[in-house]
Amino acid sequence: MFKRVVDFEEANALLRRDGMQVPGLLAYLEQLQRHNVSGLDELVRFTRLAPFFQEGEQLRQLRDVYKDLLDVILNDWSEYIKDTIEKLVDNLDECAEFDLVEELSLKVFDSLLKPTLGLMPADSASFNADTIRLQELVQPYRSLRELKAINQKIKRAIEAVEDTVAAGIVRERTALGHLLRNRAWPERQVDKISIVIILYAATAPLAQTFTNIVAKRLQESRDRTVALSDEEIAKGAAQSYLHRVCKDSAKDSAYNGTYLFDIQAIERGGCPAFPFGHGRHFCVGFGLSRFILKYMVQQFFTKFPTAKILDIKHNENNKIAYEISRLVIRTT
Amino acid sequence: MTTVQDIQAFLTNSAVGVLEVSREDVTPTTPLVDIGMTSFYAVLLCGMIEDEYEIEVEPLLMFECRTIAEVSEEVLEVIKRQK
Ligand code: HEM
Ligand code: HEM
Repeated sequence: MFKRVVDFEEANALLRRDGMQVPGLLAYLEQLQRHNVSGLDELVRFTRLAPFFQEGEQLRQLRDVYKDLLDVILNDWSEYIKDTIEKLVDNLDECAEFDLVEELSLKVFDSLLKPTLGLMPADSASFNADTIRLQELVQPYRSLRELKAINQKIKRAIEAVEDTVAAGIVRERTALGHLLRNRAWPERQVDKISIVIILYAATAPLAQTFTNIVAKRLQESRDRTVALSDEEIAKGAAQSYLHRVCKDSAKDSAYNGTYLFDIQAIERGGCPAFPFGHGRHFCVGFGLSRFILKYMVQQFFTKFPTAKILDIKHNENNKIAYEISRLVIRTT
Repeated sequence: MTTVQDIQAFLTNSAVGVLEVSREDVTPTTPLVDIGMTSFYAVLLCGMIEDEYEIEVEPLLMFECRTIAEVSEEVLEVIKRQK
């Protein structure tokens, strides 16, 4: 039913084909609506605003906005990000044992990313539950009941942010503040809020990738205090697949069909070739991710050069990313 | 009590409705792929089953079972388990 690609040369040639597109989630949802399925409106709106599911002019327009938001974060927030990382690492208990995932990796969402994005929902925990695993939920075989549940989550998340906008607590220098005040497109406030929520949902692999990199360093017996290399980032990158559908204009093209490009398996020179994607859908968060990962890894190993792994658990249920769900560490 | 026959009748009607095939082409033993079952219609049909019987079923069911008869057996099992 689909082809799993593991070879670099093959992947490279296939990904360059004109007919190779991201999955047509929008068309899929609209087809459901034409069959009188209701309760998908918010999900449809999200899909229109998510670069993951768009091609052509809409993709170009969206990426322009997303890249602008990331520029705002990198330009205006880098000192804040460094300070916050230092505080988070300082707060880790020096002589005890702790689960790195809970105590550090997952903290990047509330402490680092939300403030820079301008997302300050009153109930932070349920906002996270509604948004951070959105990508994982949007798979083709999800039942209608699940799709409708996702629709509700999106609705709740948007309302939570609308409340903060109405209360006037979204600062101008944040990604959302910038989008609301300085960008004409998209026009509607609800669409602007949606874009920032989508951006937040897209950051999910950052925490996973950080944990993976630390786990790998702890398992290998080499110098832990050296700066983080791009190769190490590539090897720790969490995403499992690039998902594409080939729709060559020739209907009988032998290439037409569904593809999963296996990010972990497709290597070049002993290193994953597309850890942050490829071509026109290349990850817009790469620069920010690299900045955060380098500083966090450096700070962590400066404070805990002799840390050891006591327990490590991998989440088997996560089909779209390599995720360590628990990494218990002893620091001395 | 719901019987396998009830479920078969419901599924046959639903399949005729959504897949736009004629009733003569749909028997309990017709392979589902032969009448145009794709992942899209699997999701849609499972949604109808969920509403009708107030249960939860995974769309993958339509691919694990080959025919309406097989799907009906499986749905009956789910009803027994979930009720
Ligand atoms: C390991 C995970 C996945 C597998 C094995 C998988 C497999 C497939 C297969 C077999 C199809 C073709 C279905 C058909 O039409 O018969 C498909 C289509 C599709 N997939 Fe995935 N998928 C996975 C993850 C995802 C994820 C994470 C997303 C969304 C973020 C997604 C979105 C879609 C969409 C929207 C389609 C419809 C494609 C179109 O017609 O353009 N899938 N997938
Ligand atoms: C280390 C962590 C990360 C990894 C491994 C990663 C990986 C990826 C990959 C593989 C893609 C391509 C998806 C595809 O082509 O189907 C992608 C796209 C994307 N990423 Fe990241 N990502 C990371 C962090 C982030 C962060 C922190 C952000 C936002 C601040 C972000 C925002 C996005 C967006 C918006 C896209 C969609 C681009 C498009 O489809 O045009 N990512 N990412």
